[in-house]
Amino acid sequence: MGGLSIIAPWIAPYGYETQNLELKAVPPQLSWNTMQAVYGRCTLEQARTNAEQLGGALGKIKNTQVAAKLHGTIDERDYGETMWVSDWQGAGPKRIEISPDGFIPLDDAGDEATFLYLHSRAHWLGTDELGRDLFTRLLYGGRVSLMVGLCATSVSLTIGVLFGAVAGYFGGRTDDLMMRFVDVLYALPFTIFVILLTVIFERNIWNLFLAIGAVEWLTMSRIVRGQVLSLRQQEFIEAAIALGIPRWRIIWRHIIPNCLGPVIVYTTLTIPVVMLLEAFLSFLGLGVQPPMSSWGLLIRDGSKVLEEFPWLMIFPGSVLAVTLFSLNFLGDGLRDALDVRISKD
Amino acid sequence: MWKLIAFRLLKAIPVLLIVATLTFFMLRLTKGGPFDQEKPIQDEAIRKQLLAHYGMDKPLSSQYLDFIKNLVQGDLGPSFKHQGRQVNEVIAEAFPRSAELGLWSLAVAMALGLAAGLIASLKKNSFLDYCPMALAMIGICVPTFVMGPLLILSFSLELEWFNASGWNSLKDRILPALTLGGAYAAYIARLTRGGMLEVLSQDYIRTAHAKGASPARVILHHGLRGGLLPVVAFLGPAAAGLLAGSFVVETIFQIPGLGRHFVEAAFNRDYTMVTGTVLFFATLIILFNLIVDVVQIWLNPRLRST
Repeated sequence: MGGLSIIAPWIAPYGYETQNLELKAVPPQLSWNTMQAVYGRCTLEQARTNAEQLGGALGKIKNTQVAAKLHGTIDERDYGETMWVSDWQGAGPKRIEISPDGFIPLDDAGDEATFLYLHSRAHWLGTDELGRDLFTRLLYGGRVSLMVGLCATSVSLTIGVLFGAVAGYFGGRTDDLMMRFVDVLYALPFTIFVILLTVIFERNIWNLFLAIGAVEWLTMSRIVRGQVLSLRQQEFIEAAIALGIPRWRIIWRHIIPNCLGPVIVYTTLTIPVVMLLEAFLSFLGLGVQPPMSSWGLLIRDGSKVLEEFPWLMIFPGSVLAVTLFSLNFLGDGLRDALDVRISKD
Repeated sequence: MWKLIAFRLLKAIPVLLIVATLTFFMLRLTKGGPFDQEKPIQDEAIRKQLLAHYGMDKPLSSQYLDFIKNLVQGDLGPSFKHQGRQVNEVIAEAFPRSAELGLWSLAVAMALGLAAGLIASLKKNSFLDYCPMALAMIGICVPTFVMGPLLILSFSLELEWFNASGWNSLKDRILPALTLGGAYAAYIARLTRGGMLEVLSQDYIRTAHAKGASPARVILHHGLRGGLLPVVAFLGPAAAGLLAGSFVVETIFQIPGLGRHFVEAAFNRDYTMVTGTVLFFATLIILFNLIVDVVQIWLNPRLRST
């Protein structure tokens, strides 16, 4: 088990890497049936170097009328008849028909003609039905998912720690009352409450954070309370009371910092739970709303067109699974390393 | 024991009342009612009549009183969206399907999880330990809504062994139950392994071996009883999880169960339907937790005195 903690920081970069990539501001809309094209008169040699610089493929316009029409972009339906594309590298789901009569061998150098440089943008993970690049959507979705993970966790952290600390510190009847409240909430189907909360309030992302955070703090508050109860017996708290330090200050400065260990561990374990909950809500259509993307939403979209485009389901699914795996691993590793005995639920 | 059960049931009543009140007012606070759809009802008279039919023209307080009064009599009121049907009827129709799905999943989870956990704990630190535990880790990290479509993709679309959706034959039960049960099988396997490892190292197991009990008897009779405690404790939260999972699985496999009704009702602002299903779920979970506690006490004599 100790081995896990050694590997944990080693496995964790998974999660970290995914996080970093999100910062790339990739344009969220790329389509596969329109490609940017630049054209002009030049020799084949020049055309080829230009095309290479653009990282694209090279095409030749057979008739100039079409070329005029094609200023800027070309359409899928123009492919077969009007132009010929060499070294096609675009990984779009549709491949271009090469028309035999338009074919001009590449070593036919020296001729001046109108060439098209297709600005090929490879779609690493393909595109969705609406022609949006899946990779981009995954990155953007990851931002949402990770943000939910962090924000909702901090919401639950705040509520949980404060609630637990107050209950534990004051003890007696206050404690009883507050913990009965937690018990009651425990008995409730909390997923249902998140669903209700998301339905009721306007569906924007901040409300989502709040809704998830508002139901995930229960275990945290129990852990903190347990810690505080044992801390309260110790001499330094007694000393603080004797010094006449106000209660909230004792809680804030002396109690809370001293139970940080288990809190940190449990927080790392909460993040995957929260992310899963967000994905779950988005999957049901209750979380992040369509123009945005999140991993849950991508999985939902993908599972609808499973038969035709399985990759739309498989990639987001595996990304989510790998991230959850890494976070769980990190949490487990931390827990074993710090050897904190907390319940796993 | 009976006292405990009675006490717990009594305690459930205020909890349910709180749930009912919360859902009732939370729904009423929402913008948009059940009749504000894309095509709003133009005719003012019809609208008034509709509202009157559902008792929504009264002030909120008397609506609430009516609701509680009906609730005590076990009547959840008419559904707003399923025209001419009572919420009770809808639940009575849909719940057996969900319950069946849940039971199958639980069976899958217990069977797979217990078997894997037992094998892993008996062959500790061998291939037979690592292999199921690695599978369990995967099972935990792949959410149901990823697992479901993947299973459909491989078993119904590629291999064509099962139907991709539906709830007609016994064969249709397999994939949903695997999807929903798989994740819990993973947790149960881990808990069983942990519990068994702890129990098997204790003195009374050695004593049992020493007095000449067969290994099978030691494991099944002496070991399992203690080793299963964490698993049983987990079943309470698992029930809640199975419920939540059923929303997803019923959506994926298009099973007309209660979970789907709940999600749809929440979308459609079908007030009575939402409140009804929430209350129903809450009751179920409370009951299940009670059963789990009773089983725990039965398994663990140390808990009996408290």
